[in-house]
Amino acid sequence: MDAKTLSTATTACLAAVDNVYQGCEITSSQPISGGYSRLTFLYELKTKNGLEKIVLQYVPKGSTGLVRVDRAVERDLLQYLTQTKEVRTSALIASDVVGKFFDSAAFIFRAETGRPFLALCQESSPDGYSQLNSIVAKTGAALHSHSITNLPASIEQPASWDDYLTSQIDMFRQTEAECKTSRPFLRYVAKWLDENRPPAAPLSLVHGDFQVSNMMTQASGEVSVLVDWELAHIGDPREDLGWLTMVCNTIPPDILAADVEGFYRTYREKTGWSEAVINPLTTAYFLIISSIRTHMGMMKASEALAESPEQAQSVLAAYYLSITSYQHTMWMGAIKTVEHSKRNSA
Amino acid sequence: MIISPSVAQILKGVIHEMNTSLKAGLEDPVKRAQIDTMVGVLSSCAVRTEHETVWMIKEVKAIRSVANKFVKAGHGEQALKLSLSEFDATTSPAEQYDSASNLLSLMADVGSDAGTELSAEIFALMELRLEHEGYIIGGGFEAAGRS
Repeated sequence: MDAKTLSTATTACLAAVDNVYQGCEITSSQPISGGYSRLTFLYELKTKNGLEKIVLQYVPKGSTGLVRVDRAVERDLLQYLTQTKEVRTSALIASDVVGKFFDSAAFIFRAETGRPFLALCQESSPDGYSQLNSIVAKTGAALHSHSITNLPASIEQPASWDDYLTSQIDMFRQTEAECKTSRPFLRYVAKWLDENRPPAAPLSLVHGDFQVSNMMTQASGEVSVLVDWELAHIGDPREDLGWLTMVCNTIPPDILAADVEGFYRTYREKTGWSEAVINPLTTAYFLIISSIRTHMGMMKASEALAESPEQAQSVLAAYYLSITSYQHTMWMGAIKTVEHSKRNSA
Repeated sequence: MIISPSVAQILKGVIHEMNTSLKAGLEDPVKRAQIDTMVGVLSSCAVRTEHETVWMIKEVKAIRSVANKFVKAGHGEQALKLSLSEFDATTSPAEQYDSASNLLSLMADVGSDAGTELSAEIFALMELRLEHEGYIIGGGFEAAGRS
């Protein structure tokens, strides 16, 4: 769909859910940089109640993204989170997961008034990193402490923590088995993960892409609004801490590294979880686990590129090779950290 | 065959143009991120084209040597022996590299059961591969459109 048909579909979709949007008009449109598989626009709307800002997230038809996402499950979660106070997210106004108004899945949110958290981090002097780091810790703690009992039934719930971890480790082996040529990093890491299982943590709602780029500031400064929930699932909360650590390392400034102790202290205080469970070493372990879903998608994309370059999303698939190499570096770095600590404590 | 400028030099020239004149005229953040993505891909290709075969041969030799030690020590004997004979039947560097990767995976499967010394050798082989991958991504990775 082009920009014009997207805006027409947006107003039609909105009008179908609320009378206030009947006859509304889009007065301005601005593309927003974000995920690699979705198009995002900030629209200003003229409605019966006056001007309103909304955000459209649209998955172009045929775009598979890195991870296959069930958009109906994503919608259920977004609807649930819109009603929830502890976990802050942009309010979902309307959605189309069956292609009634759009030719593919689309979500329409109320635009946040806050600023992107990443911009705040980039503008801050190093003296301010600890305070920002504390907001991230509180945001993560609020998310992970949230009870999973009332989550929509469509979200898959693992039978136990052990089963869940085993399934994640198996994904490394499964990914490798599906590749045409052997991928030693996947096999090496799978074996290591199996031999070095950390203590269990309570299963929780995991954002799946928990990073400062997916946070918006709030006036209160206590917790951030979290956006982009497409990879959310029930799993181990430390996956989000591991992913955060990996991304902080990539997108400067690394506010986490600026005060590691402070981050973990705040997170533990807010969740009530022990140091044996929440610490940089268990995070290192889950840094590896947290990246397998995207790694699997990237491996499939690179296999498709090798198989049929003219049919694959060639530039992205080639770009993913750099990300997989980066992930290998982070995995081996995590293993070294844990092994070093084991040797020191032996 | 014209070999000067090299493929790497040609790619570096294209990258420069994309990063300067092409990107300078663009306001759209999505399009700018797309250019960053392409620049990332071309930069990796520029490095790979200069060193790929040399790196492959270096890794293949190192893996072959450790695989012999594994067989001598009696680890993963059946599968390793079979893969070693498959390896010996390969001819091109790319085929040898794929076959050596399979050997490395089989040795990785043994994990800590291989004992301290051989486990350390496997780790060193992973590090060697990582070192080459690190050259390709320039020692780091920049997320296109996110910084």
